[in-house]
Amino acid sequence: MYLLVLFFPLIGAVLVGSFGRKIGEKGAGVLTSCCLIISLSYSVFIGAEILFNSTITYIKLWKWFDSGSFLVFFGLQFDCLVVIMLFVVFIVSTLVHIFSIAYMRGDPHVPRFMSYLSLFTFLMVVLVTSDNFLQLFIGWEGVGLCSYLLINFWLTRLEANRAAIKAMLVNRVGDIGLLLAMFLIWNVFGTLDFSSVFNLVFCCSDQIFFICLFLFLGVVGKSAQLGLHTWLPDAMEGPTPVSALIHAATMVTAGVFLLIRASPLFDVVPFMLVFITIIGVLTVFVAGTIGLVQNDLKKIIAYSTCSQLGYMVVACGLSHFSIGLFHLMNHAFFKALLFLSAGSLIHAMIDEQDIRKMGGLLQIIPLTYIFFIIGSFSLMGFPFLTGFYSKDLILEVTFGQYYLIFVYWLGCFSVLLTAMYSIRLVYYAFFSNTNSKRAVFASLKEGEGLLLAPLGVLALGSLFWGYLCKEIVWSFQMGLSPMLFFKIKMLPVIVSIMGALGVIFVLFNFSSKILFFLFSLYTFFGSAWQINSFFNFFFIKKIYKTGHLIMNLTVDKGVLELVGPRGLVQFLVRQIQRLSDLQSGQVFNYALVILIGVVIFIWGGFLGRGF
Amino acid sequence: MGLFWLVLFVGIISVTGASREKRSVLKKRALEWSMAIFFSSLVLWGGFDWEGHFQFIHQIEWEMLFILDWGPIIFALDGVSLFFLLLTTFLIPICVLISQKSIRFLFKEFLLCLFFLEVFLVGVFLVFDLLLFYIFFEGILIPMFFLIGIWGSREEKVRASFYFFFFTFAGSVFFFFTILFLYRTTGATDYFLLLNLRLSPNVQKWALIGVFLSFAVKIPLIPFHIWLPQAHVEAPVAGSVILAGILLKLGGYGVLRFSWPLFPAASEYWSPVIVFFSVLAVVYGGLMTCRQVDFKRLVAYSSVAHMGLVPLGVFTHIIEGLVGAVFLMLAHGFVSSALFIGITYLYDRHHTRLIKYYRGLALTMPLFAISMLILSLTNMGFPLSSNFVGEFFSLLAAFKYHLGVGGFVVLGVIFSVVYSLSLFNRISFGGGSNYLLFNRDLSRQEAFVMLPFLVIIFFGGVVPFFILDLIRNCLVFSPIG
Repeated sequence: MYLLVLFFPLIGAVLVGSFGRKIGEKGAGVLTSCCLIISLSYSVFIGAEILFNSTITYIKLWKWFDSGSFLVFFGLQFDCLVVIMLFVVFIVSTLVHIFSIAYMRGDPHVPRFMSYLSLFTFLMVVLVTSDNFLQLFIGWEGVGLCSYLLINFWLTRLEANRAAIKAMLVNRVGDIGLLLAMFLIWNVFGTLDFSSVFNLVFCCSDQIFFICLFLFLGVVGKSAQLGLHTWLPDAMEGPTPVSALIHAATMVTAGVFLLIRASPLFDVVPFMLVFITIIGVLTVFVAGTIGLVQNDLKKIIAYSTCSQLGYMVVACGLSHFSIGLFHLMNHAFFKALLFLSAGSLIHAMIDEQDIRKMGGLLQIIPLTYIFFIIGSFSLMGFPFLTGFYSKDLILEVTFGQYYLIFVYWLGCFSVLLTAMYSIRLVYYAFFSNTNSKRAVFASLKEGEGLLLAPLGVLALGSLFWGYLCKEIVWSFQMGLSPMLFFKIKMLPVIVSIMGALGVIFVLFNFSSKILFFLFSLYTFFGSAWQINSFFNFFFIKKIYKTGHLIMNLTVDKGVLELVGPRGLVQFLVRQIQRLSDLQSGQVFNYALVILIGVVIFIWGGFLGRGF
Repeated sequence: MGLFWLVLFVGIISVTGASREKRSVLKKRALEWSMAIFFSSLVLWGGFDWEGHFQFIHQIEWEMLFILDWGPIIFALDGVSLFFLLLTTFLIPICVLISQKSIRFLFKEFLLCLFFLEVFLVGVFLVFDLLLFYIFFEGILIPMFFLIGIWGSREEKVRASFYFFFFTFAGSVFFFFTILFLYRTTGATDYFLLLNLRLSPNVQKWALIGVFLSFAVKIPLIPFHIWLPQAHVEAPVAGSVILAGILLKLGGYGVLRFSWPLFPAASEYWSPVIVFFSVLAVVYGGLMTCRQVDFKRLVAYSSVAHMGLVPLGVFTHIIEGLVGAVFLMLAHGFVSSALFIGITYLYDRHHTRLIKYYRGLALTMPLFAISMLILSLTNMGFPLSSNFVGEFFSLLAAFKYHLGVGGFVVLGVIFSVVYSLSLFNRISFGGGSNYLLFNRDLSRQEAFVMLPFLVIIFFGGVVPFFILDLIRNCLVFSPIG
């Protein structure tokens, strides 16, 4: 059962990927979805077994590398964290599979799409269930690859190609962090197994700081924290189910998963935790401000994902890893819901993503509207919805950290931002007067049942899951719930409601131009704080220029050629030219040579006799 | 072992005997015999002892010329040379298959060149006498020179083969001096004898410089690398495959064989310098590769960048580094040959090597695109591919050697993503190109040539211990390590 839960998605992926033409569009969808449903049910069983008995299961497979002192096995480890991640991955993945049967209908490459999705699920499960860092790295790279392939799914679009390669590259920068961390771990501990490493953490704490630093670099790359977050919004070029599965619910949370997984290491170095918290909260804030002014439906949600990931990181940075996990799980539900309903909206709008061209959709697609509003409220942390339980808890915990109180205030301010962009999105899409053409508008209609069924499940999750599971997840890590004033406790909710009302008020009364009267600020946020151009200008262009001018032209085609063959040829040719000048063909030249020769000869003879 | 040589020579005679006019007969016979050689080397693997020390030792008493009494000449195999032997014998039938169409004239001579090349290569990997090693090592130049010079693609080919010959020969001269020097000081050229001698550190230092220079040209390390892209670009596909697959590995193999075992003190002494050059090769090679516009050049430079890790791994003198270097060489032998083959499929169809003319091949050539994807991923050291194992070990060793070295070498990982993926992305994604008129996917033959590479790469990554254990045992227990 433990192995099957891993390999069913792979079986689906391989079958559909290699025999897609024979199975057909419908068969591909049904087959992969069935595999996923089976895996989901297994993961529920496993969850029941592990979670309620609080046991850990280890499975050792075969030996992978062995160099005498460096030994790694393929192995699986199932504990509470893994089980929860498994459940999240499988439920979102299954629903996305079902959703994309309807969403992708008519595309000629459906089998390929389904195969990639299943492959992604498999690799994500590998990442989650591995029992050592190296095997985790397989999944870590593998999900990056699948993300690359899926962003690039509509491969004729140049934008998609660029976004895909950017995602892969930025992820790879993070991967290097993980790689370096692994080398250091091996240097310090002599092993890469989680169970061995985590039991040895107390031996040498000064090196652990660097391990944690590099691990966190990996987390920053994968979970799109500030600095390396630029790939995530661009990744929205992919099909919407992909965004829901990979860029909201599962892959981007892999970084947070790593933080939680390596929590024993991070716990040893408090300074690192402070650093993590600060990066996390800055991500929350920056992503929130950018999300406020985006016009692309999916980009808004992408920035909101970024910001929510920041909350998770903050929770981990405060050493409340279980709360981070809890928010991860809840976020998977409501963000997948948001993305899928955005997908449903886009499907209804016939692939229009610009919110300025939407509007007035409330009457036309009411079901999608309901799901959207549930997702948005859950995201905003409206009381007693799923998002509330985790997000509010994170904020309360930050308030407990007196030396990082600005984290709390930034977090609260970002709650305001969250409310603002969510409501702005809903307002533009559903309430405002429509900006689309009459003919288009008249032809719009709600998607089919298969499209909406997964949304229903996720909506239920977004409503109740947090309430149902809060005790379970909190129980992993005992800790006192912080004591707070009533005012502080209510502050996030009040701020959020304030933001929502404020945006509604402003949007109903003014046009957007007056709203963002600080035009320069607007463009600054709109261009995503200029982070992309910063990287392009200072790193990429410089490096490329070095590669071309110095290395290619100066050294390779210049110095080395001159010192090497070309210079040698030129040198020899010139010398031989000079030599052959002696053969001028004029008699007195030859006579001079003869004379010199004779003189030398005779002189030599005299010398010889002299000695 | 005797059987192996017998098969090799009978094969050559048989191909020589075939009529020049009948290409298909010629091809079939060459293919059959090269496959036979491959299988006989597999038999050698089957009979191989798991401990990986020197075995199948075969001595030839060199008394045919009564004047020179050279002593016995030893042919032997150990865990490292076995796999290079397998790589060589595996690539030769592939070369016969892929060049069936692209070689338009003098086909028989071409095949004979391949077979002689195989003889020399096998000789290099098997022989354990310095002078004979040198003879085989240099002998490779001759058929290779003809391969590039005669069957190359453009007018530049003469120049390229000149570059190739010039560089390799200039390097090898130092090796020859070293052999003479060693013979003068010790009176022996036998490898096993030299292993047991203890040379004075001063002698070792000079000897290592000579040996290393010749191998550095072959690897190729950075200041001596400019022959490689030239030779690759001009060579016919079989030439490129052999160049990338085996010839570059000769340098690494030689370094492994001759540096630590014979000159331990000198290796210790020079290792920082050599490691510095290796790091330079990785970083500089990576940057160079990113800026190439010609895909054959790009793959050639990527080999420079990757092979830089090999001397690094060897000269860290950590078991992970040694194992990683050997494994990386093997893996890279498969991957870069397969990349060259794949790229040549494109060149055969469209007759240009500039990347900018290619676009959107995933639409029209899905099989090609998927195999290129797998190869590109392998080239950048993706986990579960064979390169990852080698690269990981090498990086690990570099990191253990010195943190700064590790930090620089890791940059190579980023560059490898940039060039592999941007190549793949540009040629296979995007809308259909106007320049490409007649797109066909891989034919059955082409696909079947590609398939064994992909299978080997995958299994090399998932169950590497079949090979790794043997290499490790060899390196740990025999005097090489």
